[in-house]
Amino acid sequence: MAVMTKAEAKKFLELDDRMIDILNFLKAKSILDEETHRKILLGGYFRLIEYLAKKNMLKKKQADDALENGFDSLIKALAS
Amino acid sequence: MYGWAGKRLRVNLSTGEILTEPLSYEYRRKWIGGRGFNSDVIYNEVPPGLDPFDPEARVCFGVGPVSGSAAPSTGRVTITCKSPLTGGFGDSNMGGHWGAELKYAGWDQIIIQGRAKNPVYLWIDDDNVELRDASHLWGKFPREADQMIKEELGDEDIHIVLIGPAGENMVRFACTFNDVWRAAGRTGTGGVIGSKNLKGIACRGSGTVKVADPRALLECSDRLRQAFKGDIMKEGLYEHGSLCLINVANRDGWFPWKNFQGGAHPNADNMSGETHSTTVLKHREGCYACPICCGRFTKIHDGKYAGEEFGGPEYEHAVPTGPRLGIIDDANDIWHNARLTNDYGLDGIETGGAIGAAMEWYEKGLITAKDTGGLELTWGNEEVVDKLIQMIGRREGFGDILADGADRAADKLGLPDEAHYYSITTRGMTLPGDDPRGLGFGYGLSFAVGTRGGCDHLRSLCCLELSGALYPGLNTKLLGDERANRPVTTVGKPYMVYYEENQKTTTDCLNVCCFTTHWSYAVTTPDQIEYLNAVTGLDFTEEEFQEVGERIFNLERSYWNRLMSGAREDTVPERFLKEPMPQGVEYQTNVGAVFPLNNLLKKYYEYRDWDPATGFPSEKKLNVLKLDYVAKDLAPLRSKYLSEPEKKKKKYYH
Repeated sequence: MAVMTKAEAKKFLELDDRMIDILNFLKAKSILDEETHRKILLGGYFRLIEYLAKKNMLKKKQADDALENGFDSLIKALAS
Repeated sequence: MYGWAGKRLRVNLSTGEILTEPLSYEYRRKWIGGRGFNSDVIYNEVPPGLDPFDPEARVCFGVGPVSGSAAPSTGRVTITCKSPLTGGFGDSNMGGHWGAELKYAGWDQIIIQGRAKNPVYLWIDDDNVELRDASHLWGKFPREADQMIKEELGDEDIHIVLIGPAGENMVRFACTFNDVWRAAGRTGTGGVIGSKNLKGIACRGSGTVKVADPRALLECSDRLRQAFKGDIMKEGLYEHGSLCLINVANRDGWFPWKNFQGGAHPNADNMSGETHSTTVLKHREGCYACPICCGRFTKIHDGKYAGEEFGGPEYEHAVPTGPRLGIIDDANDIWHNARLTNDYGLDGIETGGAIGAAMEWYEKGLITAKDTGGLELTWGNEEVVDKLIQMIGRREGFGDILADGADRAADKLGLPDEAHYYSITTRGMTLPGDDPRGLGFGYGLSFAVGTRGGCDHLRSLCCLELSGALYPGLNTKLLGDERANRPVTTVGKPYMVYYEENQKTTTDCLNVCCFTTHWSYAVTTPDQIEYLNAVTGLDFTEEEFQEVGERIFNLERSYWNRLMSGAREDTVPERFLKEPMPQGVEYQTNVGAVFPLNNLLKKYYEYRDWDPATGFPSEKKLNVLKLDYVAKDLAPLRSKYLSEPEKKKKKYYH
């Protein structure tokens, strides 16, 4: 099931700097708790992908794509 | 105990008292070392209102748990004080071998307080610590004093921290050296040391660093050393030192021509690393355990300065008293000026910044030769620059005025506000030779919010935008967007600055050279944690490690907040916000660029959880970082910062 709508995805894709907005969004959806939000922010984007893959929010191919292509791929995966 | 020596030295120069203080496990875990230990001491022991030259002010020297170990480039030392230049938080760190030697002598940190009646130097011979007369060393250049102390103590192998005449004369941007040529350049640590009548600290250590898991450390260190083989940044730094940046800076338009009026010049190659290496390079010198070996030693062969020799220069050392002052045609002039700032013990960046501002005041008619004692401050006038550097070091004539930094000089001369436009400072400190309109918007943002003033060339070190493109995939991995490696873009920059600031802070707690972790990314955060845990036998996680960085950064930020410095002061010199970058060479990549600071600040505050109105860290953030006592300190100041009497942007703080 999609985590975000196409309209939400479009909004995120238009942002110059996405990390904190995406993390806040996932926290608001209760996908991340406060501590995980903080841990990922400190650790970097790849920690977010690791977490989402571990939680089965991303399939292996989606996670690989998101690691290779960054937020553009991740946002699309979360909207699919 | 592994890694740390577990104790620090406190020396009161007024009373001659020398104390040993233990460093508890909790303390070491909370602050790690170096910059962390020092920042804690300055926050707690140096009240915001204290004159940095007051005898009660502290100056700290700190090293980290991996200092002196086999991990790459672990010889640095951090020096911290209340900066006499800015009046705010100040620190600077330097390479060489002294940091490792201090560890071998069995110390993690030295705190100096008080003021000696007569000039002294401190002699640390393991646990035997004594103050010795330095009257005969007063007035000597570091290269002279270093040799005299070695002869006096009968040991050529000791390592010595020293200040030059500028420090003795309390020039507000005097720097501190070890091994003669390795400088902690910024924030005026040398002036504070000089104000205490302390010429230097000689150190001999016969001990070692106790390592919890030697095999793991050696395996990790060996793997990292292999990673440097073929590393593109390592190659550039080894071949040409940090001067390897000159041609890059000129191409990308961040070469500071005439006080940042321009960003490129057709003759920049005259002083490039490539040119230096084939004309005046005498030999290369590496710091302790360094796989890069970026240090230069220069000998001038011809012209009026023929025969001069010195260690260096670095990019940031050569550019301010060269092109920033309109000097480019004869590189020997630039090498000579760098040699002079070394001998007098001056921060080359601030020296060039002060002279550059004065040249622009002169150009704009704000001052005349009447104000300067007859010096014609025209761009490129090497004869005058040569004189003025020495006059600053000796605090003579117009040099005495500039010795307080550009902003104070403008006020002392009674110049209009317009003069500050040309000072090119943030929080009283001039920017290094890095124009944010070209070097990058991440760098620009870090200049605005840096915790030691307008300088982050060795602070947040946003190298993900400087050298990130040389490591494909790195920006995607860490920031989620490869486009962040482009300098002149806002993409990903607030998060980049947040990430790099935390990372660089912990690197400074380990006292590891950032050329291994930022310029080059051969050593990553997990690698650092691997060798930290191998040395200490502890179990630092990535989160804990980065959180220590965030804690220290917020502590330093809070020091500024206590001085009523916050959101209003988070800016860069107006030139970068208003003046589109002119064309200097036809191949320049950033013509027309201005720096869009406001687009970045708001988002950056979100990452930091700083109040957008005041720029103070939120109470919640401080509590999460175990800085609840800081939250209490800031509580009454939040509304005060927004009150009418405070609403004037401050230039400096004491």
